[in-house]
Amino acid sequence: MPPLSLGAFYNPHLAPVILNKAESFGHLAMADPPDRQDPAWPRIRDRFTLLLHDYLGQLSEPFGSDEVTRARALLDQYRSPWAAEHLQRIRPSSPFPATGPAVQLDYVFPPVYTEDLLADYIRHAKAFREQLGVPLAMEPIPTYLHLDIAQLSEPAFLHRFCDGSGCHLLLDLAHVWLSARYAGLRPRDLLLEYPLRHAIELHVAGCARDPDLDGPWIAPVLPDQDILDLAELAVKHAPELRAITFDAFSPLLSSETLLAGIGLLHERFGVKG
Amino acid sequence: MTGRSLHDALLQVLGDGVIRSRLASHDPHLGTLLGSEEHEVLRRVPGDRLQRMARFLARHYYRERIVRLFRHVRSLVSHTGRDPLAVLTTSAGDELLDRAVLGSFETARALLDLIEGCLTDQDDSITQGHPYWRDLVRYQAAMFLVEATSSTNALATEAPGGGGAPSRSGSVTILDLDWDIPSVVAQFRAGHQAIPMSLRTPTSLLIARSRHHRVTAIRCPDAIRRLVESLDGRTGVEALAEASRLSVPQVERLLDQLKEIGAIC
Repeated sequence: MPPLSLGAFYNPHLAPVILNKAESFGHLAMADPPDRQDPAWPRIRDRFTLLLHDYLGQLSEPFGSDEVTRARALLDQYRSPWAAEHLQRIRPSSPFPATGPAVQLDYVFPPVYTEDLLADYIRHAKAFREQLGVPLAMEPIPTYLHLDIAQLSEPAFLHRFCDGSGCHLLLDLAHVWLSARYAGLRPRDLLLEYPLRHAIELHVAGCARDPDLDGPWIAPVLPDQDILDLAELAVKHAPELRAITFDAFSPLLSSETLLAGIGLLHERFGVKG
Repeated sequence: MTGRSLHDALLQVLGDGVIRSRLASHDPHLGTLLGSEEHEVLRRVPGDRLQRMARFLARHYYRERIVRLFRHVRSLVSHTGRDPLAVLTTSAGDELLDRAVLGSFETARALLDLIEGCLTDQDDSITQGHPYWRDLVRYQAAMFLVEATSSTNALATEAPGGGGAPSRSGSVTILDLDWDIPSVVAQFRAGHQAIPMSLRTPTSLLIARSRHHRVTAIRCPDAIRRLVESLDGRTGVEALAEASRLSVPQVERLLDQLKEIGAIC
């Protein structure tokens, strides 16, 4: 197994802290392009391996030339060794003409795991990966709303997606925990069903109660022992794993939480001795 | 029914409070809009879970827009005690989120009414310390509303055929302020608390939304105002130059810039 890089998301308001503790961060994941007025950006770019984790587009549809050009520009700017995108679907194929504006959720939302969408995701992700010229990793999103139709399980969909598209897997352990929670499954059992041999990166973060959902959801908080244990189990089954990222990205994130999060990763997965 | 058609219908239901209300009231005609099989599947989703997910998504949708488009107002929270995000946790905010049509002008307008109330009701003590406060709120409110405005051709019905002449986008708003808000913002971003009175000067801004939904504000001197007001889809570049009292090369450069920010479609 290649050496694991331990890192976090780049939160611009915490740039001084990140630069001050630079040795703790093997990489930084970029959820947004840098602000032109971010004074720390030139030093961040020079100092760290950067991973492209921006919203690039919806891979159930073919990417337009604008989307490919933007992704390539970000890739060049970051010199990112791979790109990541969510396995999500946040806008319909075309607007419903009889209703209001075209819906776009602006928040990660999973597709239904049907054969027709699988074929579309495979075709478009393969084409996009070839246009990028670097590995492309897909990150599944937990399902809160279950529809009463025949469909593949999320792990089965991902096995066939990775095999068919040549893409890698980016697995967020909090997502796995939530998917298991809302499907009534044991997280460890569900985790081992994913195509972990394709995993190139893990995300580790915590969950907190969301009042709207009346249950746990992704939150920019520290992972608990269950999530860290899941991450440890995933590492054992992921021979191509290159990086683990503390997945907390929020303007409200404190420096204490960021440093505690990266500290937990070093405790569990850092080089011993 | 395909997975795609079902998911399209689900997204539409989640993003549109009116459709959700029709689904909850068993409107038999909804199948015509969503597809009959899709409608049947979505009717079987527990209503409370659907509503919870929809409210969750709506809260994220508008929280992101308030954070982005009211960022200067929010940067003064420690001085003013007024945070526009607070409206999303009021009962009126919850009620609005439940019937929101994501991306619609009407929902943005209704939410903005709540936000403006939160920011400007009994704000005398704020305007004493920050005399540009009301203009800052108007500026950010205009950005918020333009973001939800269609960028299609505002004059399409007035200029059938188009003729290839540049036409003003429906998202364009020109805002007349008493304070030079771009300079005010630059001052407090640089950490200056005392804003010079010299910045109390009539200032016009043109705000537009690009096709990538990016909202941009630029200064709008009289020549640009005259140019933009003449963009009716029928007037050619030479006539635009005459109307705006600019040279043809100046108009051509400005048209390129206006197109870039979405002021021309």
